[in-house]
Amino acid sequence: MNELLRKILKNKKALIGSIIIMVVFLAAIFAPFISPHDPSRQDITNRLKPPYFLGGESTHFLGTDSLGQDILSRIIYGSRISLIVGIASVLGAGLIGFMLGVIAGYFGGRVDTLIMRIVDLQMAIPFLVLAIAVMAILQPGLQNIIVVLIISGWVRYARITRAQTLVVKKNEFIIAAVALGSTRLRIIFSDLFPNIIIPVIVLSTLEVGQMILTEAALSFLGLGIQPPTPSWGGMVADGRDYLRFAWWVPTLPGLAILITVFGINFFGDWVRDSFDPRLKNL
Amino acid sequence: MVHAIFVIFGVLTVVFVLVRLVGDPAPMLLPIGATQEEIALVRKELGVDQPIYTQYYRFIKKGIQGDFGLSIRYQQPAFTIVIERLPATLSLTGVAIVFMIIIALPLGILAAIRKNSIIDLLSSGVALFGQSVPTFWLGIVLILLFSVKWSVFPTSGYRGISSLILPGITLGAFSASLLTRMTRSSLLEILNSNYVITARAKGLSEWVVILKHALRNAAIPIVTIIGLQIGPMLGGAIITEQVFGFPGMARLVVQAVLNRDFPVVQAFVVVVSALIVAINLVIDILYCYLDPRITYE
Repeated sequence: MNELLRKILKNKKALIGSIIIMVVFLAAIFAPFISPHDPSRQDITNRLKPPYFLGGESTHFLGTDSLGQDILSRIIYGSRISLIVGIASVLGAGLIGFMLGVIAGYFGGRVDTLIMRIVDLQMAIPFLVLAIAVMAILQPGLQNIIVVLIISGWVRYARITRAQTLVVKKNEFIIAAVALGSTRLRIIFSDLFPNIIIPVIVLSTLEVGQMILTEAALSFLGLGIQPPTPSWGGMVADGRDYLRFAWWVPTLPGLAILITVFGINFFGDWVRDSFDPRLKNL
Repeated sequence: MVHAIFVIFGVLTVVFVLVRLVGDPAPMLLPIGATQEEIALVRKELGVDQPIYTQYYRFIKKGIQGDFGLSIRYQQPAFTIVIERLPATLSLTGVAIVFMIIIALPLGILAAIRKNSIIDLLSSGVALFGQSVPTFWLGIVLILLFSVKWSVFPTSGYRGISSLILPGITLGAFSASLLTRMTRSSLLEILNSNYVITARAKGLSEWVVILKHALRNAAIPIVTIIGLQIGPMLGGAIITEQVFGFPGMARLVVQAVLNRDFPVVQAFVVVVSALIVAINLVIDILYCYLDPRITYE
């Protein structure tokens, strides 16, 4: 653990990335304590107030939106949605993709053909198109967004895990384990897993940012998180109509998305470079 | 080709399953309070009173002919509505591809040649920014700067090439960042290969070595990435068209989803997938041209 910390402190990318991620995490966890206002409290007399640095009041540090809601408080609370969606969808998609990839790669034959045909098929439908088509059936909401992202996102994990399994299963230590009479489950769990997990971890780190971006996009389109729950994408959509005379309303929540995803990608790049430089094109 | 047919067939199946998951479409087409007889009549008209395999067979047969039924909202064939808006979306995607290539190729090449220089740092910065920025937000910021503040480009709509610039940049930004990275890394790999060292040893100028010898061989991964990005771009167009009020098929589909106009959603998914399959075929053919060693049996 100490060694990992030392590695992070030594590398600029890792350090900047982890600081950003840490700040967003802390904001999400301690939102009720650090938010200056209730994020859903509307105050029509105080609508579209500019941020403090543009001559506004310090009580609304980042100004207010069209309903008089405090933008800073909504950004702080919005971090919860982004993090929950980002992490849950990556865990779900990663787990399903990983399992199916191992099954396809290890067992081969018809199972492999079937799984890879589904993967091929899904690759022909763009991620966002599939997400929107599934969203047309499900109702908007936090749980359904996560389900949609898992359904749309598992294929990349399946492909990379299968490829990795095909390489590793030809190694002598696996053949030896088979010869020693280990069961298939034992081989998969104790011999195969530790040797194929790294690319999946790397991909997962890089995918968290993409999932956050997709959730924000769906919420922006009105197909994701519904008001009054604060979500960064939804806040940008709500503020769009006021771009001409209150540009900060749609711009600041977008900046929060940009900085968060930037931090995650920065950290992800470092994870990739330090775990496995061969994956540089991932 | 077999693969392409399989994919189209599979996409039609996926669309069929998705729509059946929604449930009975008949009550959705009728006003609230419709009688059981009216519902039964519409069910018969739509063919949903038939066994599932008959419905599937009919759906595939009609789907291959581009018949997805009438749009619930427009009362016109859904396929025609989508196809009518295809040229606008394709022109937007075209501009995005051009933008992606103009920005990413020179930046990636320069970053590879001047590794660890300011240009290299700039290219990684651009790449990281492009991968982290939300498309819709980038569009809004571009509108704020170039339309509201400086009035250089129109804020929305589809009136000539000037209205395509901002949406094109917005749509192409993410892919440009990927292409910059890919160009840099594939060129770096090739610049260390033996034939490049030989070309240098022959006394050729550095630019000839790079443009004639190295880039030609780096072309395959670069073309692959460009091809692979067209699909996500057609998906990304959904957001870009929404931000810029662009009258393409992607904006239509968002309205269709919100109105639960399933025939339009189905037609859109199938059209996009067919386009992607066609593009992949073109790229496969292009491989043979770029690398004569590649042949298809």
